[in-house]
Amino acid sequence: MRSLQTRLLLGVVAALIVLLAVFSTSVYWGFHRTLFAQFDGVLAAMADILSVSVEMDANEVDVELEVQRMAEFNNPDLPMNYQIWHMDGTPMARSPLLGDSDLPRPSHLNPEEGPRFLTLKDNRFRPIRVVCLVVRPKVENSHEGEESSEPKYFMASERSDLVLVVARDLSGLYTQLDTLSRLLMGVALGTVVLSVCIGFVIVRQGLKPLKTIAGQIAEIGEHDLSVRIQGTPVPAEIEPIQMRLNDLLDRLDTAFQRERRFTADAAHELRTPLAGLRSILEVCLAQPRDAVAYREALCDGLSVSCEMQVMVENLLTLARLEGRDILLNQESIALSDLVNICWRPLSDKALEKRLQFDNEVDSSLTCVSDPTYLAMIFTNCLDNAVTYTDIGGKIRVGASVQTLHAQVIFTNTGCTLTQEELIQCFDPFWRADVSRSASGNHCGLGLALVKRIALVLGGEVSASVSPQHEFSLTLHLQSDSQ
Amino acid sequence: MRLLIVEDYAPLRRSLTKGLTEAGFAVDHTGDGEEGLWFARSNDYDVIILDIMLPGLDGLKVLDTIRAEGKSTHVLLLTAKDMVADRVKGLNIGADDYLIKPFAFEELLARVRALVRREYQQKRPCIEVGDLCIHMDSQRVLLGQTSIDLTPREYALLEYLAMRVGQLVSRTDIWDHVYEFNACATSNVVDVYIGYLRKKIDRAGMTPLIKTIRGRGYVLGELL
Repeated sequence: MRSLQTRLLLGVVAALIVLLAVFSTSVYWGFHRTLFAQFDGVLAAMADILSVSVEMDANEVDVELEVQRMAEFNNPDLPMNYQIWHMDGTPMARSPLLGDSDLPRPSHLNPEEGPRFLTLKDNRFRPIRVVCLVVRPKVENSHEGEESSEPKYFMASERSDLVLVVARDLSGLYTQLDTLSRLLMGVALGTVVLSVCIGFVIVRQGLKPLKTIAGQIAEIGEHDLSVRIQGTPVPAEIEPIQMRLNDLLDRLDTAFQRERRFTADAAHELRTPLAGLRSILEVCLAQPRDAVAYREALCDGLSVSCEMQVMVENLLTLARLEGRDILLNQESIALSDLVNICWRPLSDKALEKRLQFDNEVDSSLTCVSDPTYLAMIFTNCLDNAVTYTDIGGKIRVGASVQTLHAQVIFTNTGCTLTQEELIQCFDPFWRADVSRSASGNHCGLGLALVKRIALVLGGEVSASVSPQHEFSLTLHLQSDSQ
Repeated sequence: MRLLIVEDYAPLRRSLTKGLTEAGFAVDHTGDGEEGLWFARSNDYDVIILDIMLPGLDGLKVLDTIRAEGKSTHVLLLTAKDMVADRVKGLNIGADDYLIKPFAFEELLARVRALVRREYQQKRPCIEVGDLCIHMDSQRVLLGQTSIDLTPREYALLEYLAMRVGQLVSRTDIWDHVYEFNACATSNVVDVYIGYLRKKIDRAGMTPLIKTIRGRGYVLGELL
């Protein structure tokens, strides 16, 4: 595909050529008609002069001497000639410059139709313009006994009608028209060349903002997406493109930053257990030990491996949820039973912290959802509560179900989160406690998983902190029946 | 030499404690930042191995606090944060070294030993006192061409005396730098171990290498 600059330039030049062609043609034909009209006017005038100066005397036709001597009939460079025929074709008179040659004679000439103009070639093949007309000669009245200083004439009879042809050389006119056409073509060609040059500069200038934007885009690397496209001033046509590109860069920057942060966080979270595993193995191998010591080291290593496995599985689950690469199995779930099932593995840990747990969900409440993923939400919410509730604190779970809608609230005491921290609590790897000592199994991924699963199940989750430092996770789910 | 490990990840903390103890160090350990600060304030450690992300009080604040209080204990930061900015920040606050997780235990050991040598202005990993040669990197002790077998505690005691060769070392100093916080020992255990050492490194008819300065302590080699 040609460049926009070439296309614009070719378009402009093509349009200009068409306009110039139309203009030049119009001018040429305008001049052509005008000059021919003037030429024909002169020719007609000369024919009129000749027609009234044709005399007939005893079957001889003659033209008045003054007319014969007119300069127009005697200029060999731009000759104007005439010839007179009898209607039967007999040549009667001709202009002196013709010599013995004849002018072309029209075959049929109607006396009633008036003068006829034709463009022909003479016997030397030069272009000539002729006017043909039927003239009636005048006859001198020469009665004897009447004396008069001025001769008296009367018109001859119809039988004496003559054919008069006046011809004028067209070379001069054609030379003028040729000069005009050359001039017009020259001007048009010059205009086209000039317009190509000017058009090139104008189009280039016009497209300069696009080039500038293209240059700026080319300089943006994947590690520097914070750069925005700027230009001063940006043409109105380019401004929407610039805005959309900057919007796109914003989204890309956010996505890349999230990606980088996620990768860095994941790597960072894996470093510590990896360091632990390596240290356990290296220390164990540093010297010969008994079987019990080896077994102890292997158990420690296994424990760390299990932690890492949980984290990796959570990361995989999160990735699958992000890509919606999961199949849902919708069925009716008793909410109270599911809460109890999810609480059971956590009860020992809760007992250690002397936590009070109240399942306030009505045993008759059910909702239609995926039991596996809903259990993951409940487990993570309860695990989060057990991890972060103060010693001797309280955890309670409540629920309500309406038509097409279910709400489950997990509340725990002893929350010290600020409102700013509350916004971050669903971010992957974010933890209220920066250390990992109190993180349990979810490694800062628990609430991120809860949020993603809730979205996949067609619901949402929100967090809040009451003035009494109670942390609540409210889960809204779509449900088809009670 | 006495070390403090402040690391909240229990498996790593346990293995480091075990490995460093086996390497002859007296090791105190904790997983909490505030408790770590208390340990650092209460004892004169040769090296503190400090994690950055800690519950209670983060490692950089612990380091900042002990430096503000004038403690010059060598600190090795141990962290998963690997960005240059993190390292620069830690070193600018007053850390003496920085090790990124995961790491080789041998490297940690070598860095800790280097920091210990720096503490006592010892450039070489081998200290010679008369015929006695103590190789700190391999924990081997040679008397002339004869290798001497020492228990970890005996070696720790000899290494500490060797680090301060020619200096008067009090029983309290020995207690503070060779025994960990929770050591179950009586007050005369130092004298007992000095006796064990003398039996192994002194030769009959030769000037004893470890001299007792009555009422003040001990000196390895000639008092400077």
